[in-house]
Amino acid sequence: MWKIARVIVQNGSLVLFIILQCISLFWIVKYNQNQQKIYLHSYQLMAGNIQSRFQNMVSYFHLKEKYDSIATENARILSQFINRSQNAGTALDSSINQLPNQKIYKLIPAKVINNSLDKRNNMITLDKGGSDHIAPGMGVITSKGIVGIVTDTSAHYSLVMSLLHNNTNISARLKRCGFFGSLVWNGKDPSIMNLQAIQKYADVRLGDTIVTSGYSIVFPKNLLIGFVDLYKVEAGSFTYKIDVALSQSMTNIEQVYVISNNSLGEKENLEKRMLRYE
Amino acid sequence: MNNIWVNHIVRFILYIALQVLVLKHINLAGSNQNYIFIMIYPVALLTLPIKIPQFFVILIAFTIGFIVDLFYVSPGVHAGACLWMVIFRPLVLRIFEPKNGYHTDISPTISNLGVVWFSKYASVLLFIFFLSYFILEIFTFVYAGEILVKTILSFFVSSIIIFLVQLFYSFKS
Repeated sequence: MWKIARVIVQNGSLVLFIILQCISLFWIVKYNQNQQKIYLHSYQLMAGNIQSRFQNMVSYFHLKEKYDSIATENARILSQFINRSQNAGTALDSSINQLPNQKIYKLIPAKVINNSLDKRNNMITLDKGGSDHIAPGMGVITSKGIVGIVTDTSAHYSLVMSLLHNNTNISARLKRCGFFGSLVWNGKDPSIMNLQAIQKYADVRLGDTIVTSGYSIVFPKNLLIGFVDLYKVEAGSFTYKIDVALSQSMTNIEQVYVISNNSLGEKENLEKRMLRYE
Repeated sequence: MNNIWVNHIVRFILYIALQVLVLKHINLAGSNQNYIFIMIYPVALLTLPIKIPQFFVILIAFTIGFIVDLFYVSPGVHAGACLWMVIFRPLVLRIFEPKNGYHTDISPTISNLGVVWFSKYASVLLFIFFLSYFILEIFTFVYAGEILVKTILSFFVSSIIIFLVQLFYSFKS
């Protein structure tokens, strides 16, 4: 017992110093008002700093979730906007008949994970597929314009025929004068498409807005496509040759929305039967 | 042996009483902006016998600091400063050790080791004491200038008084 005490006395002075120093520091911040205030203030400064740094760091981990939730929210708002503009003309009818079979468009947010521009037939790959209710035949848009049409889906991915494709043939309309034609790509410039079959007596001007016609079920009507960049009538032709500058550049698409429709397929099936009568 | 301890205890009590009953109330500036705080009780720790184990020196320093704190109503400030001072005491003793070493039984006082030796020894440790005291009292380095001014002024005034008291003691004995 005495031996232990002697060892402690001989070697424990530094430990004793530290312990007593901690006690006195504790008393200082506990029982002295000035020092306590300074201590608490510094503590809060430091803790606040550390916490905000930590929050900053953590927020990076949630960036993807936030991005997704914003995309979903965008899709919801955009679909509301589209639905309202689609059904605006029939508002009177619907208020009378309470039409249950109004066209309801739903937008599914998706991200472009592969895109090409330099081929004759360009395709886009999206990161969502059949498990998110994407089906072939649905239109793909962004907030600035249209992108393409879904041609094939797997469970988690889908293939989209880009506007820059040989088979693209989208029914488009000149917004100002109402004439409609079909939009094709000539395979040269990825920012320019051609609007065909506009009769030459139409009043086309430079900068005219071109929108979707709504004659196909793929795209709702009045979605922005682009603007008239150049127009001319070739000798001996009855139609204009119109160059359309796309409003959504195909070079930098990231976030897209797939348009799903509650009456998808019904119209197509009906129109297939048309062949029998032609 | 007994006599020495009684002697030390009486000395401690006298120093503490002088400190908290008289010197505490002395305000040389006469206003709130006082930069000079006279403290002489640390010399009671400086003159503890050399042979006492450091462990007990630390305990005694803490106890005395705590008692002074009770009167100054600043728990922990004096105790912390006393601790900082005595933790450097063995180092300073070793640095200023005479060529032929210390006599084991003595206290480091003027009468035992001379005026010059004592002034070097005491001024180093007293400066540590005042510096740590004002750091702990002001508790922020925002007022580093104030800490330095108070330390230096209090250090000089207190040192002079301590020297006079020590000289008086040495002549008496």
